[in-house]
Amino acid sequence: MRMLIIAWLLSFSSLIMADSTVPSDSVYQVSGTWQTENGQPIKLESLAGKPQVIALIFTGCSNSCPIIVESMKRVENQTPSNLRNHVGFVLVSLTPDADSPKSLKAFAEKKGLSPNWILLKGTNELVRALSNALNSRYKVVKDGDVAHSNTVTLLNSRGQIQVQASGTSTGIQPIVEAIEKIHPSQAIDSKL
Amino acid sequence: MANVTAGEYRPLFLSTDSPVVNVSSFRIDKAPVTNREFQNFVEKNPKWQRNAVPSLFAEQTYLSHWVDTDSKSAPNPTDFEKPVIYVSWYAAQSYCQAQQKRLPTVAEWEYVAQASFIQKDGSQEKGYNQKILDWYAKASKQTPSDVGKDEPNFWGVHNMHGLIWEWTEDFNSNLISGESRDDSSVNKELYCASGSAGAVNPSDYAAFMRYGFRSSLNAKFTLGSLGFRCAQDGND
Repeated sequence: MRMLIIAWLLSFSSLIMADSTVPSDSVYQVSGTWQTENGQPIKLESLAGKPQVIALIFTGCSNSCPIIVESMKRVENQTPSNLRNHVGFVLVSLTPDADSPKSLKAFAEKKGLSPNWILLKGTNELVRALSNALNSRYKVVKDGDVAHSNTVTLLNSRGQIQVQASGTSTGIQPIVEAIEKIHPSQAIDSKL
Repeated sequence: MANVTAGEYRPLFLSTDSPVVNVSSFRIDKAPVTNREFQNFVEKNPKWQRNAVPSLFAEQTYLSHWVDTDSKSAPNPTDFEKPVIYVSWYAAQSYCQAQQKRLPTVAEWEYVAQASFIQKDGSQEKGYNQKILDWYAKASKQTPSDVGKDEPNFWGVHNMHGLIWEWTEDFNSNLISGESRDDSSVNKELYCASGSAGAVNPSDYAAFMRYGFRSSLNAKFTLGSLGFRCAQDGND
């Protein structure tokens, strides 16, 4: 009985939280306006409402970025079918000066990304702030090449960091497992 | 602000045959941002009040040296001209943006910091490194002194050494960190074998310490010895 009451209280508090503002420790606290691959302006907080798998990528890169994207596609393919369209995938450009919505769209098409994916272009300031919020490091080196961390992050429906993993084919496993454990009711948060 | 003319800067961690970094002309605050200046910013931007700042953006110790009065906190008047400390990278970045400025990059900061009293690059001057190391060796005082009281360097800039550590825009971009060993593809030579062997000037311990310190930071850290100053692109 006591467990039931606690469970009820917890579910109640999460409902209250759901329709209030962005949690204090949410990555969505990074304010500012981004652009999608379709040229739409977007705030990070509008990604709230379902879990998101997010990574910073260098669209011009030939080494680890394709691996990151492939690993995230693997996460998508291994997502249980009842959650399949309730988990989002976000790729953020590390080179906003070089990328346009158009080039991001072309990148998405080239990689065959499903409608569950969104690609974001910000400003250098926004990218640095988001990168810091995700504990990810990067550096633009000579000739427009970018050295960067290989981190993929699972955010819950309110933008709080759940799991971080390395974006290699085996490193990504903790995210696959974390998504398998998500209860369908947690994935869809209609209040947000 | 002080005008800094363009020049070259060779990051210490690159090997001697790697390219130097070109620093374009820019402007930099002559002194670190003070408590009084930061207080003005916080009053105009209540989001950055001690009790309002999101936990994503600052640790618990954010502005913990300020005194609570009524519902807000403010610096002690005797601290007005001291550099603001216990500020996170996010707070520093936001402050600079509000002044239509930005944080200096590591390259810009180091470029200004290598000036002596009499020349742009004082790093080979006798005693230059020793003076900085003497400061690093000293135990920190309870609070730093007022800003701008030391002799300015070649650029007319104060307190690059001897007062506080400072945030830079890309403080964590040197990928000589644990994580980069296995997951970043560029700059392998930086951490191959160990550390300093490939560096330009292995005797520049002071710069090594700064790189090490920066690498250990997380953007939300708020420390009693860490403040910042702002920079701006130059016109010429």
